[in-house]
Amino acid sequence: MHRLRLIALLGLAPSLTPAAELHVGAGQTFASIRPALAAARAGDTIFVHSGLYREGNLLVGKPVALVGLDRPRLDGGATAEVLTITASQVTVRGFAVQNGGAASLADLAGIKVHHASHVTIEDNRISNCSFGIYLSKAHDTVVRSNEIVGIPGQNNEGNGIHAWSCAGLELDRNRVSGQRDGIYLEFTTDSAITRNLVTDNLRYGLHFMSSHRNTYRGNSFLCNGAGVAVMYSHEVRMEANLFGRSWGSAAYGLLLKDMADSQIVGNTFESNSTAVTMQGVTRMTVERNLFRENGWALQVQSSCTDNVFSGNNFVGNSFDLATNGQLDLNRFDGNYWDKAENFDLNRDGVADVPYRPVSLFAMLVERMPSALLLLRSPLVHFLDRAERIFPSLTPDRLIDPHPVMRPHPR
Amino acid sequence: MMTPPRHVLLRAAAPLALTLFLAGCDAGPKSIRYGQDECAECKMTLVDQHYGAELITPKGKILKFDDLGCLRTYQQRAPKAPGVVPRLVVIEFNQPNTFLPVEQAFFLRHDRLRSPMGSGTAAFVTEAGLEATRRQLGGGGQLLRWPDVMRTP
Repeated sequence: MHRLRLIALLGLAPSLTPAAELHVGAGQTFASIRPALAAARAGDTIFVHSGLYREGNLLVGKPVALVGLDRPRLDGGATAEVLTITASQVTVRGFAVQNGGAASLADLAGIKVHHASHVTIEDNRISNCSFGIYLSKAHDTVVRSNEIVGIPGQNNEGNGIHAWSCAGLELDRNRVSGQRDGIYLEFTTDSAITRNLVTDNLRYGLHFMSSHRNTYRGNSFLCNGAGVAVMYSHEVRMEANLFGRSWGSAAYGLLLKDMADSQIVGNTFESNSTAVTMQGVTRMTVERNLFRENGWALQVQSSCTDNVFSGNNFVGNSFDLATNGQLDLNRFDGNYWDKAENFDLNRDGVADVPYRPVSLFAMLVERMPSALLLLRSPLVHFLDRAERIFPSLTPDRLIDPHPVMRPHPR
Repeated sequence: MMTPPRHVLLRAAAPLALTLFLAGCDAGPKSIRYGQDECAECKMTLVDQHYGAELITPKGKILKFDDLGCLRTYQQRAPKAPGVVPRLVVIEFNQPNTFLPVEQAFFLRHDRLRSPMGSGTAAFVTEAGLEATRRQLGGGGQLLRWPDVMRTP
């Protein structure tokens, strides 16, 4: 990537003239942004001084830096897409972008990058726009430290950061709330989503559709319809994220559907109706995660095979594992289960008896959801105990052979 | 405490019983709660009010779908029991939560229609309504009736 950038620069070298600085604002060379964009040449920097700029749709079609001083406001008047970038090597930094238009047949955004690469969108505040930042075939683009808040009462229309058919994105330290999906990736590959705070979005905090070889790390997903949904994607690495407070009948911390060859490592799932639900998932590693105080920690459908769950801590969940099948093609090993009530005579830290993480009651509820009414009934408790000793309904080969006695340190 | 005469109780209970009975029989479509309901096929939460469909079994069970593509996938995979024909209804593209029987609807498939699961297929109550949307999209796309929607991917 860097080499490519260097070659691109060298190619430009003969035509390079010293980059100019253009100023826009009251009392500056340009009173508005559009004429400054027209006058600028490749490599120039346009400084926009504070103020309110209502210029409809602004098109950035050449490689310039657009830099806001004291956060100037770009206002779309609720009719237009505010900023459309169609050139590579553009930087947009330091603006408040507000009141973008919305349309049912076109995806209008606060800032859109269309068929361009190496664009940087940094430190902007985007509010009241249908889509916040929309990347369409925008390769190697950096979206960093922006704050995106959707249109109050209309959060079913657009996503906060929407990437379609991109590769090599860096989405870092953004804050997104009040949108349909906080961050949405479709046909987007080889990208990193890091340290974002994604809260209170209608559907998902982060949503992958057919997006392969991506990593998301160190993000917080709180109070979204579901924290993250990964669908029809493979080689996705999910590491050290916080999934919390996704409550509701169709609410999950993490929803996985039809995916393969991925890792879920070192995450915290706390206070979700269901922490992780998976369907059609194969060859996934789930290790060193903390599942704390969820309704269900894991719901694993029988369509899941060759997954390994090891070194996780299950603490204070109503159910640790529910399934509609046998799951004998998956492996559970060396987890900490606070419900295990096991013993360790040789004091090696590993319990002496294997543990069956699926309770009888979890099986019953899976077949008959209304049985949930009996949660915490003494009879259920008694049946669960009896079942652990003489398994009849629960999958007999579904065991953790080496449950540990104390939670794994984190 | 005085107990009310039995016939008064009965009279009070009758409308309640009737309401419950009728509610139990109602097998019509049920409005989609966007932002809450889940697609029976892809598990996604329904949010886009231009799209949606329901399958109503003869026993009155209602399954909801976010995209016509999901309804099609579900239907193709579901085991076919002889004599059991579910009712299928779709959301009108321009009228949120208005259901049409699939046999009556006109369908537009267009690559600029961004349906939740990418089938790009929308339903319209009239052909004129479909043509108006097609014009807004700059022409193109295909007009389909329900059997074609089920056949062509």
